[in-house]
Amino acid sequence: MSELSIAIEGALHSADLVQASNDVKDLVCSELNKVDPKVDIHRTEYFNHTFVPDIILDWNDGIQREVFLRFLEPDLMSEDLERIGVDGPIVFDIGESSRSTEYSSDSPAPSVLERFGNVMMTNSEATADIRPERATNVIMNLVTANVLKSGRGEYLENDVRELLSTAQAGFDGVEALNSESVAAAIRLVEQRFDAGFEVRIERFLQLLWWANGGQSEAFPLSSLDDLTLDPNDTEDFLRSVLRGDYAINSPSFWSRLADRVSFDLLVGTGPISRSNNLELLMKHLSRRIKLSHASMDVVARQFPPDDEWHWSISDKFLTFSGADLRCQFTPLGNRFSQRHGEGVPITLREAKARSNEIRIEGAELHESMRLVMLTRLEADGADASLDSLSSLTSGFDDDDLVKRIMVRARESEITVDFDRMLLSSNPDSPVFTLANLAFTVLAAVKPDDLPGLILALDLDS
Amino acid sequence: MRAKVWLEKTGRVDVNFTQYEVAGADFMTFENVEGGRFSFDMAGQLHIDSGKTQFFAEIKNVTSEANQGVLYKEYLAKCYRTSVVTGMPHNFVWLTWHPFSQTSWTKLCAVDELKAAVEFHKSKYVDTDEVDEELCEKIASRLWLIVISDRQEELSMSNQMFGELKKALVLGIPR
Repeated sequence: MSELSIAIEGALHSADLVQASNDVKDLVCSELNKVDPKVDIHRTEYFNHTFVPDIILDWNDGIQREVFLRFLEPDLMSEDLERIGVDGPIVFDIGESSRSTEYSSDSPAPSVLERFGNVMMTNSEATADIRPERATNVIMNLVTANVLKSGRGEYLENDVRELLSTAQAGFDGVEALNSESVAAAIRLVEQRFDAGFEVRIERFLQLLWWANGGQSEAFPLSSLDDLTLDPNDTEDFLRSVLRGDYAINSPSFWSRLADRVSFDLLVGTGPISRSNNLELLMKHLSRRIKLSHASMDVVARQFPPDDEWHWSISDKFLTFSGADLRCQFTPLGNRFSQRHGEGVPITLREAKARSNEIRIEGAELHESMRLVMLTRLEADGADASLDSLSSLTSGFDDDDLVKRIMVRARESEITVDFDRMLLSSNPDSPVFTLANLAFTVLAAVKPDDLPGLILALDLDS
Repeated sequence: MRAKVWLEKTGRVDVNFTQYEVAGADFMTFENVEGGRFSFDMAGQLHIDSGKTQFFAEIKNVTSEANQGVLYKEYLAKCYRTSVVTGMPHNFVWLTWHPFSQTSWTKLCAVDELKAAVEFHKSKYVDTDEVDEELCEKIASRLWLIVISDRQEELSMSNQMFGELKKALVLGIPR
């Protein structure tokens, strides 16, 4: 018997009826919480009532599901479902431990469940293996995390075992491009989940298939037209991948995926605070996504100190942070319209030191009481030795203050604003370039000085 | 199941457990003074005007008198024994589909009838010299003797209507 069945049996040994029913309900609620940690679980005041559910599950997205606790008796199940089955509830059999030995629960009434296609039937023996946090890949995670929300039909011990092994084989199948195991996984999901979830899983398998290098025409059993991806599906897929605890250690997977991910798609998955998979994706994406704006802020150090450099997504910003620095990226300059006085102009001496080896197109200086705008002449470009800030500002005092410098980075010109601690690029530049300039010029941090920063920016890749 | 459905459709009763669901459960099974065990068919809670209270029920799904007169007397003694063992005078429901003991029908829940039944079964259900009269009075006031018929079952809210209504009331969700 499972731990849950044993615990229920213990609860039913109480001499007090109310205590027994409360304890059993507590045990089931706790189990449901383990099966789906994201669902809100509401108890009703009723226990084993003919008409009123014992528990309401609420995913706070408009979807609720009723749970009826039952000491299941197959002969009575049809009559019971006539009363409660219309809304597609979960019938949770708590009778495993108290059932007399001559009664077998192996197959309560498949034909009855067929008539009530939206009902899910499970018991205290079956749920112990449904644990999303144990999932080792995105498909297993999705399947286990959606059993309560989208599960249909019988989920007895063997059914759960079969589901888990088939889902694992399905994931292995997309990695190995084995269409047979992918097809088997899709067929099983079709039987065990509602249609909406089945399509979602199929989309995920298709995306994984594609990201692993598979040809779309070789993907099996597709109920979908083609690989023209619905942005919502892709965002949903990406969110699941980035929020999952499992790492996908396949560079080609991330490289192919990065080809498909736009900034909007990426930030749509947020908030994401810590994710190994986001780090893996950004290794490829930071050189491909081009954006126009980056800000740099000094932030209060957390306690305990969090010096590890990492990417995160929140409030529609892509953020790279570590130590006491935070660099935020966006294509929308107006997101920074309120920034004033975050930084202070630096001396020309300091600006020269920070911009060493960077081609400078222009600068804005405070000289005495006047603002001076310096721009490189077209003709200067012929002589590389004149690229530096030193050559542009020759004759100015090193103690003059620099408000802005304009940097040439390939085809883009990037304005570095020391007052606002802000970079603006025209046309857009890769996030990687913006990040390097922001750290080097705005924050005066060279990646070499912080090995963690080098690793996170993946300078050698 | 018919009894459970009918009782719960009154809106006043929650049948939490039936004997076939939790055979031998401690909260539904009691020991008589001879060491034998007896149990009720159902247990749960009554929502009466003074609040929720626990009940035990004996169900007779019969089409004739079926010796109910004799069985009822022993049931009364069991009610007494249960109240002594648990230390609480619970409510007790006898629900039948056929009337019995018609000549004494109006007295079947009277305290004298109860005392007489307990005295009659004293050797099996009473472990004191005297029957506790005060307890008998409390138990008698908590006896529910109900006869229903097929037609009466039919002449109640449909399952669908009651289900919708109850859910809306309990869950506060317009359905």
